[in-house]
Amino acid sequence: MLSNIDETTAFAIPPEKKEDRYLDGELLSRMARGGAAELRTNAEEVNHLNVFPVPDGDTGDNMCMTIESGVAALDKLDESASLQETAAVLSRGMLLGARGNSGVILSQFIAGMAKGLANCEKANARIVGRALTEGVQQAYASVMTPTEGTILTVAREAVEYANAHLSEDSSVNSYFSDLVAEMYRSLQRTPQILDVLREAGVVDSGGAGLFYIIDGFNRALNGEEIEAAALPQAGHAAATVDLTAFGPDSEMTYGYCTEFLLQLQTAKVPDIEHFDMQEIIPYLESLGDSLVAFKTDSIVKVHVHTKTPEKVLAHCRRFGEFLTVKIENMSVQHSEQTVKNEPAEEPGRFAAAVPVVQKKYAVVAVCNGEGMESLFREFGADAIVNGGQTQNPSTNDFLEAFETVSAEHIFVFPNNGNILMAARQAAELYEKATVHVIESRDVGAGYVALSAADFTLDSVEEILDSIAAAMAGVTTGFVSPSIRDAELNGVTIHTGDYIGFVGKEMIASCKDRAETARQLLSHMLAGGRYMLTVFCGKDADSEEAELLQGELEKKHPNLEVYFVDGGQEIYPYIFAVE
Amino acid sequence: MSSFAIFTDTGCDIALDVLAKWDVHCACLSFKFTDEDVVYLNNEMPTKEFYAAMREGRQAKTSAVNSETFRMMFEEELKAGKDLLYLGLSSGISSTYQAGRIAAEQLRADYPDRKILTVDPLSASAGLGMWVAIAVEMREAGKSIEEVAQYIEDNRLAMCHWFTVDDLVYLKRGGRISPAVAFVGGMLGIKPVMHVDNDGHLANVTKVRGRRAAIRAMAERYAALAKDKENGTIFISQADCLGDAETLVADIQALTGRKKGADHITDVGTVIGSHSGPGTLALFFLGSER
Repeated sequence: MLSNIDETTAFAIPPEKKEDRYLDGELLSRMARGGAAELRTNAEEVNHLNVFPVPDGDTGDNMCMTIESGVAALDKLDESASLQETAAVLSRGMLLGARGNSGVILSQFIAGMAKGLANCEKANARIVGRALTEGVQQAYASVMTPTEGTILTVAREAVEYANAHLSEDSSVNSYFSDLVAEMYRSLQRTPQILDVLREAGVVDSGGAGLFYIIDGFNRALNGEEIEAAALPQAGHAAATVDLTAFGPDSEMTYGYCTEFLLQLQTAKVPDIEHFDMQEIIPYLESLGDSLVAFKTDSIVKVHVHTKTPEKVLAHCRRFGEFLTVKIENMSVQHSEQTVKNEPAEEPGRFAAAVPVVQKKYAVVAVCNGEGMESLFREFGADAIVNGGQTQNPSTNDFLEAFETVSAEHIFVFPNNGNILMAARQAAELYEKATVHVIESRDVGAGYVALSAADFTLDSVEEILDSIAAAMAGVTTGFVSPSIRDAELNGVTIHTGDYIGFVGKEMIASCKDRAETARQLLSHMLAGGRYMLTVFCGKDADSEEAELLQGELEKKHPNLEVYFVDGGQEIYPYIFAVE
Repeated sequence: MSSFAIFTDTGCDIALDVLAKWDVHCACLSFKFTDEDVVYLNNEMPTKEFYAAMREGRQAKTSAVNSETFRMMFEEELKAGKDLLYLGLSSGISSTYQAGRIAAEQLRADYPDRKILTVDPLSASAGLGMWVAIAVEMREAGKSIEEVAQYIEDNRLAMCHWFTVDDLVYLKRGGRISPAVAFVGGMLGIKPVMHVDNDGHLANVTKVRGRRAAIRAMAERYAALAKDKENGTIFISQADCLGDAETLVADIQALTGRKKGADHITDVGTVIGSHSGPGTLALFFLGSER
């Protein structure tokens, strides 16, 4: 798992590296092949990461086809071709083969780079840096509304970093080494920028695709031979397309992923060279989103997600004729991905590298009994650690519970004085979230505190305050059978008698359970109490509970009384008085 | 003989006989129970009977006053040569005010010499009721119709509405709050403390544990926001929970040292009650902000 590897060793230059050299046509060609092979190997993983802007799950494939189209163009090129020529051919091949949002942005990045390498036989690190800066600019310019936290950010931050580390001693090798290292880091940061990524627990897919390509560039630059993993069998995708995903009654939710190459025609557009893309862009923006549209020479490339592809095509055909058209129903695309996704056999490199951070706050509560569990869950507990008076959970039980929730802040309600320590220790050991241990010494306090907690507040301190304030007003009393003969406060208690206590103080003891409850309650309700919650345990009897409830309502007409099914062991009744 | 006519609607929760004493005209919203085909004007059923029906589980739906009704009511006064001012139920809650405004606009063409003014005080229940009382007082003090309208328009956001309900299910059913908010209040023993915001919508739920804590929280809002804690006017409306209204007053007095009680305690009528249910307790006062 990559998350466990120190990143500096992950990108160390192999020991048998070739002598540093200038970037020339032959080398760029080899790097492009390395990048394509590296991405092909990891394309499926990149597909899995794809959640933005729509979960159509084909980013890896699209970027792969994009760069492979560039590599295919290089195949026809003489090996001794100059750097500028190689870059131009690669770029044009990619522009024409670009598929998908990320593929298009990638092709624009490379096109910008090629522009920056124009008139270059070969290039040193500084020229490469300038060319890639131009690549970043062109990538940003190709998108109508650039979104940060995507491939754009990853490209920009990496290039900025590598440029900032340029010095007299920089070689093309050291430049790319910097570039890849920062690209990796930048990629890890994407979930902090884009909520949709954080919620899905992934890094940006386009960014990951770019990382694999540039990683392949870098390794090829250092002399490594990269072989692509076997291509998926032909027809693989077709076989898994689930056409039933869109039936007679389906609603069109995602629209169509619509892509085409339009050959501008002199018969329709007299001055092709100065054709204004504004003829196309605003109208297409009104028809859909995820729009990428640009013109290269006399060819216009468009990618758009729209519910009305026919309007897109009709409009664009006013300026030329189509070279290729691809229209895919994204509901089907999506379900195809869903089918391919399961079962996920191995966690991907990046899927594992980022924790799934889904929310700001999560709650872990300790309790015992099915009823209790559902009560705590109803009030917002995300995970329950089973435990109580006679069954104290371990630090590790808490750590395991923390793992199952994912949030910036975890609030733990131990709900027992004997469990506080284990919770505190777990809080100290846990590093993936800030853990706040609530000092709830019994289940009554924990229940009241959790129900009063307002997790819509932004400030953790305010939440903790609201919890502490609610908890301060609670007294909890327990009714339990005595497990042995004892002498307490001069009263003899026999095994099987009932005792009622608050904290460590025994308040009542009696052979009769209902009577014990009455005595305890009458002690607890003395003086201005307004609310009583009764948790009926596993051994409580409903007739007796109803009897008590009736008595209470008569005796305390202003008291709000709630009987709930706690299902806890040991205590037939637990009373929380506020 | 009043210098101009004041109109309101039954969203103001002031009893009709009191309004008559104040010489205020009132348009009646209507309601019906979902299980029968009878439409009641909302003064046709005693609130006791109405809330008893709701407690039995019957659901009530309300209908706004339409502009034609307003036109006829307004016209009567205009024909008698009176100018008129209409203060309506918050447009954030009902379309009644909108209907009154449309009627007013139509009539301005027919009666170019009459002043026909409408104000949406973005208020509801006895919050609107207090504005009506203020308008009546100003009219008696000899203020002009423009002065009264302008004063209410300028100060409407000072009218604080704080309320709690026994069960959020009614507000949820009437679509007055989002399901998420209703869920918060649906939890056992949890009571919402809500208010009417600057747009005249129901908003800002704080949850507290228990009815008692909800009443105390309302008193705390008064202590924090009221402009004149000791002598300021307090209106309270309550839906079949008069005892809680008294508790609220006692809480306010304990918190602020106020000697005076509430200036007006009134029933939550069937219009508001259809949506907020029995057990609704609402507090109104002029404050520094809503």
